[in-house]
Amino acid sequence: MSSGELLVLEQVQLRRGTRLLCKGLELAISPGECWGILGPNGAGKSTLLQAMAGLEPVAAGRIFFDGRELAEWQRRTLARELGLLFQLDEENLTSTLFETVLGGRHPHLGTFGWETARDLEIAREAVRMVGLEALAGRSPHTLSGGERQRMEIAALLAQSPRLALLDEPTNHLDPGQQVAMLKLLKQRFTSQGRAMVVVLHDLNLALAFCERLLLLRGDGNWRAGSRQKTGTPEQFSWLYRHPVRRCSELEEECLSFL
Amino acid sequence: MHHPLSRRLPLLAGLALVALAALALSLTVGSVAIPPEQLWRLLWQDDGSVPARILHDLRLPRTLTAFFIGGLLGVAGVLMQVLLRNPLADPYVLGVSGGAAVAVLLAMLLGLSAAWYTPVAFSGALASILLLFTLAHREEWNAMRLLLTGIVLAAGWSAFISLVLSLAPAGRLPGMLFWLMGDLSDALQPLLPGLVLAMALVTSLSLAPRLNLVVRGALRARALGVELRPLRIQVYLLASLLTATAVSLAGTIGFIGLVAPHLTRLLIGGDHRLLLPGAALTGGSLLLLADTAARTLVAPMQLPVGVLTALLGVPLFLYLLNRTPGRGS
Repeated sequence: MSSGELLVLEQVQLRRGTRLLCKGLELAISPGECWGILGPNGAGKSTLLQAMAGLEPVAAGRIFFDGRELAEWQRRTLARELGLLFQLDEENLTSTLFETVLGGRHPHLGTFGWETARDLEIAREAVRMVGLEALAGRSPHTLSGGERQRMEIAALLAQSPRLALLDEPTNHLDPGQQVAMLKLLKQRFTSQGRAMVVVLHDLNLALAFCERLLLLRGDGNWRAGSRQKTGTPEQFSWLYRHPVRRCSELEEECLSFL
Repeated sequence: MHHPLSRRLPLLAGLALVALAALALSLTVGSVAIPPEQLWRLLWQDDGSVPARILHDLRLPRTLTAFFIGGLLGVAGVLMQVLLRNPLADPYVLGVSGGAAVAVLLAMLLGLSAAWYTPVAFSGALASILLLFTLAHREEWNAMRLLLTGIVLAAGWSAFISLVLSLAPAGRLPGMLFWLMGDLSDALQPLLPGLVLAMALVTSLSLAPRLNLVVRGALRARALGVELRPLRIQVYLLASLLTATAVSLAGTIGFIGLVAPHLTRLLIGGDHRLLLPGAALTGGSLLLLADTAARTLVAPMQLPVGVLTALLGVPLFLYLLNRTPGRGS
């Protein structure tokens, strides 16, 4: 394996119970790349993302980050290099938006975890970038779904990992914010030796932001490659088992925020 | 740019002042009132007078012991609530107190002297902690499984307690009931709970940043590099040992470990770096006030302090619950 790659998957197999989700998956993610993962519900997209973060075991195969197998990494050290934006799980009742974003700095802190002025500045900048500075003192459970999603994005920006794994970052966002947040994430995570992998359901967003796509069909089959090769209507029709056409072929109006 | 906690630090200082006031109150009132203006002098100068002897031999040890035990219960309550992800969890929910109670009641039944109660209770609590640890350790450290196993274990101990009570000769019953309700009248050893509390605060403060992430979601904590399993085991053992210390010195004093964390959270927020020391101060102050009331309200008789903490705790908790509609914390 060449040393330039951030994340390498070798013959990875994913299962859920007795169901085979994908087999023999080979993937190499290099700095500067933005990978999109597409696939039907339950195809194992989130599972794959968590496996890439070392949070879920794989049924077979190996995953390397920066040339070392994930299991060999100390979790805390890995958390400085590799960040995960997940679908919202639980909420805390007694903290603020700013403190939640500041939590992203955790892997960078010392033993007693007291944030320095620099950590505070990084978190404040992250809150500003997602446009939530007016709500910084609010409790997360008083925020709308879209605002909470942007808070999570800010927490990931504050964590500032080299590889960002994003599980549906556009969830709950209005179409304008979807584009704005993806632009922000792409700008941050494809420069300075960083890379990103993003699970999306919107084909147009995937085509607009990701140069490479991984199509997970959920039945063991997968296809990966450049947008030109994997981002065609024929490929998407295969992926979703449903005919996909170009807007230009439609007679009705077809709108886009892009 | 200010640290988000810097605005709340004065609130922690406020809690410390309340604790000092509670300490002063407890030291001044009693069968012999010690005027506040003499208190300071008598504290440093044991002149052999009756007030000085009462202060040094009885009131100071009991006051400090009550304060430290309340602090232990407050810290243990916070830890249990995080561990079990349940706002209703208190230090006794996993059966630590039940194990201690069964051991002590058996010792009383066998007629062992009172000097044995503390070590016996501690052994019983320890046995219960290890039993639950073995039961829970087999599987993944899952909060729900731990809670259910603990509750069932506690129910088992409770049945055992009823059995011992029904078999006990009538003469021994009042002492047993007093112990079960929580009683500080023999608790005159502040050194042990004080040391345990200091150890607990240092240890739990080093866990605090990770606890902050855990309450915001398990997946988030793992993604940010927290190893959940060892953390949960540490929190379980720490909370259980604190509870065991408190129970073996003073019996099962209810509500402090439930109310102190919630009250503190409402006052200074949910960041565990402030919440843990805050809950120690709140728990200490609450138990101290309850104990002062317990030994003065119907003096020269003493009430079991556990009755008073429950009498104080129930309305306080209901008030807190109704003040924050729909938040459940």
